[in-house]
Amino acid sequence: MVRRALLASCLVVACEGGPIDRTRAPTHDFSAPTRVSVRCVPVGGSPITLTTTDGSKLDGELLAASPDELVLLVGGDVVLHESAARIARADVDLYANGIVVGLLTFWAVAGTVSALSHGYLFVASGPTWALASSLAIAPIAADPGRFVTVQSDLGRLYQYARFPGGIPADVDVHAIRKSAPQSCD
Amino acid sequence: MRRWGSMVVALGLFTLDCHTEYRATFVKRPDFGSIGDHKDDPFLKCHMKDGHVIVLEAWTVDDVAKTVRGYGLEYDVNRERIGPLEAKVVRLDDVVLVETNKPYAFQVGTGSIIALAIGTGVSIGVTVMCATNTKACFGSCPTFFADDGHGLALQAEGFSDAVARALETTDVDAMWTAAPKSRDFDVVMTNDALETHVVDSVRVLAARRPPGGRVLRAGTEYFEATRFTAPKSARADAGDVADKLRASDGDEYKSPASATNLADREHVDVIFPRPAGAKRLGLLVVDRNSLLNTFLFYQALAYAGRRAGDWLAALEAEGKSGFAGLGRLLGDIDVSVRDASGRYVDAGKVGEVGPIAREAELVVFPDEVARGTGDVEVRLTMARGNWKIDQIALVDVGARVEPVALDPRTVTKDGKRDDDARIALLDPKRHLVTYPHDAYTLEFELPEGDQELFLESRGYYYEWMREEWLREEDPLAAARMVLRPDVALRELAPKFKAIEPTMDRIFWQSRVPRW
Repeated sequence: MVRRALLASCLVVACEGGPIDRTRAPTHDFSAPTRVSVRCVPVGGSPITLTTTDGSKLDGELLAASPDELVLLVGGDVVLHESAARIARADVDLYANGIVVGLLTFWAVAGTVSALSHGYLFVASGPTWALASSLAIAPIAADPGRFVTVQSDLGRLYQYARFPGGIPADVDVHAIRKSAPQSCD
Repeated sequence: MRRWGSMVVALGLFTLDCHTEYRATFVKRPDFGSIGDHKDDPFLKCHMKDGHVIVLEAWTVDDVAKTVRGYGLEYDVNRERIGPLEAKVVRLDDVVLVETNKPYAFQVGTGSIIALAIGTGVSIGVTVMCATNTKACFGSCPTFFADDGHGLALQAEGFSDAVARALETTDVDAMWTAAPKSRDFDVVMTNDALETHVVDSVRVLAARRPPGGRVLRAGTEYFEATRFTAPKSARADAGDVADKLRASDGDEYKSPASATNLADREHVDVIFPRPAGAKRLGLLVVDRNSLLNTFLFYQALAYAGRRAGDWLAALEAEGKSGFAGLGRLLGDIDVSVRDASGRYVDAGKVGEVGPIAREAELVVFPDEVARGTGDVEVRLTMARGNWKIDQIALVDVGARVEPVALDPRTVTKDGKRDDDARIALLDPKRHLVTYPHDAYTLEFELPEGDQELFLESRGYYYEWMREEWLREEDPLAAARMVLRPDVALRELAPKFKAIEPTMDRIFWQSRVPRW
């Protein structure tokens, strides 16, 4: 059991490493072309977390990106221009995994507790469950594919911005608000 | 089981976070002429000069009119949808940037779910196994491993029938495949079962081998043996099984147990070509128990249930003989040889108890057997399904030899020297007590020369009660196993037959791992 679980975990780790670049097709083994409605095609900017050179963090929606600066919408209505010189690191959040990790953790705990039904074999199967399930969940919890992390060449992040071509001159930046929740309806 | 399986699948599907990733391609204004290169991408986004974005599907580019046509939606700067889903024509002059999207389904956690599902399946299997087949759990007494030239290999199991203090005994096993590389010889003693082992002593007995031969144990005596002759035929109920008996290769002969009486016996009639010029002949038998007696022992403990301690106390008070009925009925492997008058005459028996390590034993034939003519005909008689025989061979029996007994020079545990354990093994008044997962390495210094090695161990052990067994508590049935073992062996036959095909597999899977 342990060997199979470990093998599967290792395969997952091997398959899911590395950031997803929107200019490339995802390389995950479990990816496949799919049909979606035009209503579902995302049009907002990706959530982003900036770590500045003084160590503070800033969360917002990425509006635009260039090698010189990133433009964020913070707090839903504040447009913030952050120069590249002040940015130590930028993490673009591609997808959330909290629910998945939560459910997998519940499964792992339930499995470990259920190993009590093995009687004395629990001395082996209990720790095996705990270890194997931790190894299975860890790659998801710490999935590097969830983020695109950039410490230089900030211009590469334009593809995750609401305005990938930059904020047009005609747009009144003071009128920009948080992207409306998108519905596939 | 089916319900568990459904729950696992349901949880797995529920846990799957299937979302969509988009392969995106961006085309800036001077290159708008190349938009058509991405016509396989189903969606096209026009990022407009006014900050709006128009998302189109079924899109086409009109290079002459410099427009993009499609069916889609328009969003304002705050990505509020403007207007309905409709056919649209977008002038490329109003576009800052064109983006094409190709969606991919991406399932987060699929691998983890597979891993957990496998673990869940195995775990449920163990649960079901333990709930339905509790007599198949690994029980081993101390097991001893030594180098066989390829690595550590199982060589012996100590005092298998000493299941209580009153039954403490000295057991000698041939280390049949041991192949020491030097005079420094390590023996690893493990506790791989849910048992408490109380070990009084462990010694290696070494006897110099004759040229081209081995030294074999016949009870408490040891003899040189040469010229091993394989059987021509071995007639059993299943036909000629000689192929299984010609070499000690793990391909064992075992008959199925009787479905009506576990004490039912069988014959295997073996014919050997007579070796020329032999002065004394004997029979080598390499064998081990099946799991039949393990089943009976565990069944007895299950019937005793919460009173198992009382039964073992009674065993210690009454002595072994009062509780040996089952063992007597199952018996050993009786060896007889056909004499000049054509009758089979008793020649001795072999019967080392234990289902794990193979034992090599010798039965020395009466001298007149060597003086006979024609083939040597031997009959083995034993309880059906109680023995696994790996090899039998006719041997020339030579001189009696006296092995040298060697105490361990050092004892280590977890890579650290354990002098206290060594003293416990050397001092007759002390015992070394081991628990599941324990492993000790005992180092011996062998005499010079090619040595036959035997492992002598003395001690006893206690089986741990399994919670599942308590469900079968039945004092009357326990009493019947002691007082009327003949009846018990008939009553338990169907129960054993039900698990006999899978018992070996489950037994080995339930072995307690060492840490």
